[in-house]
Parts: sequence; structure tokens; C-alpha cells
Amino acid sequence: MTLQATTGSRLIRIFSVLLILPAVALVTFLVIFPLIWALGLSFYSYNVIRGEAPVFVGVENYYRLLNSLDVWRRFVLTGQFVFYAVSIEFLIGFGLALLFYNQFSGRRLAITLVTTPLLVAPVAVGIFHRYLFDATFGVYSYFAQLITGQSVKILSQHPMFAIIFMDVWQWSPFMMLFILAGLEAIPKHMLESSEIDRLSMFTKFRYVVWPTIRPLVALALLFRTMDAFRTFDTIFTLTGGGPGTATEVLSIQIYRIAFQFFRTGEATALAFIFLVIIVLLTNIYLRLARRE
Amino acid sequence: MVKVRAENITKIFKTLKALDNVSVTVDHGLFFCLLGPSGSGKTTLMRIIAGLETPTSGSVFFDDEDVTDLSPSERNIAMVFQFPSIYPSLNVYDNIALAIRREVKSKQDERERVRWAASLLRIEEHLNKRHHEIDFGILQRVSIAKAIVRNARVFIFDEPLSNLDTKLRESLRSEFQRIHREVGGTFIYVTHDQLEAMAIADRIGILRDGRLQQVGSPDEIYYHPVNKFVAYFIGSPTINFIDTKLKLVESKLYASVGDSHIELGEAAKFALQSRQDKLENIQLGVRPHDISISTAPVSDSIPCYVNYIESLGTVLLVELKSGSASFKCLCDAGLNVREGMQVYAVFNKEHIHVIDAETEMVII
Repeated sequence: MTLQATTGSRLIRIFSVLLILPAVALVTFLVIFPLIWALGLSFYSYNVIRGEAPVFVGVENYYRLLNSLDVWRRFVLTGQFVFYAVSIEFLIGFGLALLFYNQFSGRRLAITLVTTPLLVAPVAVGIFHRYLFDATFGVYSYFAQLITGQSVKILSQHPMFAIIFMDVWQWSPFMMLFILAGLEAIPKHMLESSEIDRLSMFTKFRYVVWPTIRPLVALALLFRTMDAFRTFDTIFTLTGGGPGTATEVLSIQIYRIAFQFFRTGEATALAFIFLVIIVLLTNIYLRLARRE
Repeated sequence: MVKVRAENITKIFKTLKALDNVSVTVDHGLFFCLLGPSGSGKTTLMRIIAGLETPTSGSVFFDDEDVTDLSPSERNIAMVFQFPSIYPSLNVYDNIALAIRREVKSKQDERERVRWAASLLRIEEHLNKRHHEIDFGILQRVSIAKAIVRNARVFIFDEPLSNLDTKLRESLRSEFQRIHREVGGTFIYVTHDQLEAMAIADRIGILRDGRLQQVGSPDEIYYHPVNKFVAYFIGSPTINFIDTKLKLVESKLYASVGDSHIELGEAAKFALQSRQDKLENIQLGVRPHDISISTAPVSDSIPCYVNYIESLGTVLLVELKSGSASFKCLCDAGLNVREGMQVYAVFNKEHIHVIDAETEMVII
């Protein structure tokens, strides 16, 4: 009886290991192994085109990158892009969430319409924004001219504005969905109670609304910040990082170093620096969200 | 404290008529219970008085002021909800203090009032604790403290005990009258628990299907229900309804119970005189407390046999059968009755209700 039971449970254990083995193998060969390989590569000088043997250079790649004014400028640029894009998305998302928190006829349809940008493929977003921003026949340029009274070449004069605008256009609904979910989780009796307690709008927000929505807001900000940091496709198709390097965020710079200049070792080093930043940011947000 | 007057309140939610022309007055400083089964409209009426809901038609007055269009905060009411309404980021003291932030003149005043409310609810030792450090029962006490600390015109309680376990509920229930005495305001208390209402209220208003059935003191409602529903809803164990036929013999009024008859009192006779022709379709309403069991025949008793016995601890709930009539009575656990035994039921004639089965109105 006991023997049978142990054999049975051992069989189950072996069977379960067999079941997850393909997935583990896939992840190991396609994710973990390349990651470790890349980490090793970041300590070598290597050019994938020349096909020469990699030369071990120690931390030189990192040293050079972290001391390069150029790289720092990209960091600042990326930081600016992320900060403005995510902040504006948060504000617009919050506004939309408050709007949709009220019940009105056609609300569901309106939510569906507002969230459609989320469904558009990033490359398509980049390409059609290029037309929208076009200096001669773009719709945005037309309105900009109506407002300012002069012809504005948005993509060449305010490229940073253009990429932030595009990101906000696509991702504000995402913020809205999270914040709306948070608002709808506030117990009704707490809202009524705060009304009866005669709390001001601000106090009501601080003590009733904010504690409930905070974890969801943190999560939305976390997702958006990480995502905005690694934005590549939309910006690449809209401006290609230009004009010059005006919108060359880190991900585009990594792409250029790796696939235009083929300094593979250096590119992996930069990618790892990038990874560390994202992991750090994630931790900060998660810590903020959990703090009670 | 104010006198609360709801006049001709009707409330329609889409197709559902939740309240149908309800008028009720709650006098200054009274402890008033709105009682009814779920879906009776008691919560809707309470929410309309609180200002959380607007009536489809009708008005609400606080003293002589029409407050129908005022918000809850403009009405200056305090309220306790079914679930604790505690701000999680504040400790207990600050939660209570926040409720009177607009009322206090000084920090000293605030401290005194918070301490007064906390001592009234016996939560002094929890004042520095936070939401997650105290259990549900204490949280609900804090919610009550948050309400009674206010200088509100009306204090409203929306089934504040219904989510507590039995022990906590009993202990808080017994304190409510004391709290009311100390606070001295007009209390409106909604509950579906008739025991709760009977125990704490000065006056009770009973609702059913959006209509007010009866308003009265607990005793009035218990001893003089106006209709079958009120008689049925109030009292535990539930009142017996016995189909009967009335008969006048030599100017005495008899009512049949199963195979035998009992004589009804003068009052019943007097009340029934006006409807001489309609002595059919009548029911007797007798509470289990008002039926006693005798093992030997006594005058004016009904011979019956014991059908079923349920022990309620110190008392027994005994179901008796006499012919087609069956009814329950309460008797002492010491009484030696067994199922199937022949006994004699004696009705307390003072408290027999005669009910018109058609209109469901209590004739006496």
C-alpha cells in the first residue's frame, strides 16, 4: 500500500517534470542563454560583420559608455520623453476616468471608441502620425497654423513634442482603464460617508479615493514607464530618431550602435545598462505601491 | 435634534415602485426604527430622509424646513452604514476627529469630544490604532462613534449590526439605548431584525412592499397589530393563525378550534357586532406565549394531542393538533409532555386576535 503510494506519487512527479520540460528548455535556449551570452559579449570588443574573434576588453565598454557625453544626452532625452509622456498620459487618463466614472447613455460605446488607439499596431501609429504631422498637408500642421497663424513644421521644429504627442495619443486610454477600474473599486458607502462627513473635495480624494486607486495607479505608471522607456517602433517610424539625433532615445541608439555601426559588444553593454535602469524603476514603483 | 417628517413619499426605480405614498413623522429626540423584510422599502425611505436618494414625489421636512432638495451634508445628518466607514489611512482618533473638523472651535474641544464619543462606545484603548489593527466589531463601534460625535440634526443607522456575529450584535444592541440617552438626538434606525427593533426603539414603523403598515411603540405593535402581516412579522416564535368559524349562542360568541370551541371575550363580541352577517372567513391569531398546556382537562380548554416538540433550551416549542387545526405553544421544559400525548390547550383570551382572512385586517 505504502509502496504503491510512493511509486504513484513519484510517477506523478516525473510526469509533471516532463510536462514543464519543453517550456523550460525553450526559455533556457531562447532567453536565458542569449542573455548570459550577451552579458559576456558586453565585456568584449566584437563586430558581428567583420567576423573576427571577440577581444576581451573588461569593463571598457561600460567605462566608455558611462563617460560618453553622447550617451548621457540620450539618457536625458529618454528621461524627458518618458517623464512628459507618462505624466500627460496620467493626467489625461485620470480626466477620462473621472468622466467615464459617471453613468451616461452611450458610455460603453464611448469607452470602446476612446480605447481604440490601444489596438493600433505601433508601426502603423508611427507611419500615419508622419502624415498627420506633415508640414504641407498634415492635419495637425493645419490646426497648428490656424492657432499660431504661421506655418509650423512640427516634425523638424518640435520633434520631441511630436513623439510625446503620439505616445500620449496611443497610451492615455491605457491609463484611463486602470484608473477607472480603481475608481469603480471604491466602496459606494465610503463615498456616501465622506459626503455625510462633509469632507472637502481634497480631503475626500486624499482619504477615500486615493487609498483605493493607489495600487492600480502605481501599476499603470509602472507598465507605462517601462514601456515608454523601451519605445522603439513608433518613434523609429515617425522620426527615425531625427532630425539629427533630436529624438534618438536609448532604444534607437542601441539599435544604431548594434545594426548600423555594428559595434556589437558596445551595444550589448548599453542594453545591459538599460536593463538595470528598468529593473531599478520597477522596484521603486513596486515599493511605493506596497507601502502602507 | 429635529422632528423629521416625510410626507407622501413615492419612489420609483425604473419600473419598480419602492415606496408608495409613505408618510411618517419622527418626533424630537425619539429612537425610531424602520422595520421590514428585505425589499420592503425601508432602506430607500431611510436614504431619502438622509438625502442620498431623491423621492419621485413627496417631501422631507426637518422641523418646518423643507429639506427635500438639500444634500446630506447640507441637511447636517450623521449616519452609520452597514459596513464600517473608516478612512484606512487614518487612526481611530483622527477618523472621529475628521467628522467634526467643521464643528470644533479648538484642539481642546476636539479632544474632549472625541474622548467622550470613544468612552461612550468603549473604544478608548483603540484610539491610536489603525484600520488593519482592529477587528470588525470595533471598526463598527468606531463608525458609530464617528456619527454620534457630530452635532447632527438627525442620526441615521442603516442596519449597523447586521454584519456582526451574534455575540457582538447582542452586546452592541444592548448599548444602543444608553447611547441614545447620552447623545439625546433624533435616531432613525433601519433593521430587518424585529428583535433588534423591539429591544431598542421608542417607536417602530413597519413597512411592506413600499407601504407603511403600522407605526407604534413596541408594545402597541406586539399586542395590537393592525393586520396579519404585522402580527406575523413581529414576535418570535411566530404567531399562530388558526382558521375558525364564529358562532353566537345565547349571546355568547364562540370560535371553533379544530373539533372544539372556545368562548371569545366581550371585547371580541362587541367588535364583531357591526359585522354580524360576515362571521365566515375568519382566523384567530394567537401567540405561542398565550397558549398554555394542561395535562388534565380544565374549563374552556381544547383537547388536542402533541404532534411535535422542539426544545429551545429552558422552554419547549410544542406543536399541538386538534382536528384540522394545528398551532404551536411555548411551555416549560419541566413539563412532562411527549409526542403523541393527549393534552389540553388553554388560550389566554386577553390576547386572542380575530382576523378577517380576506382583507388580512385585525378586527380585534
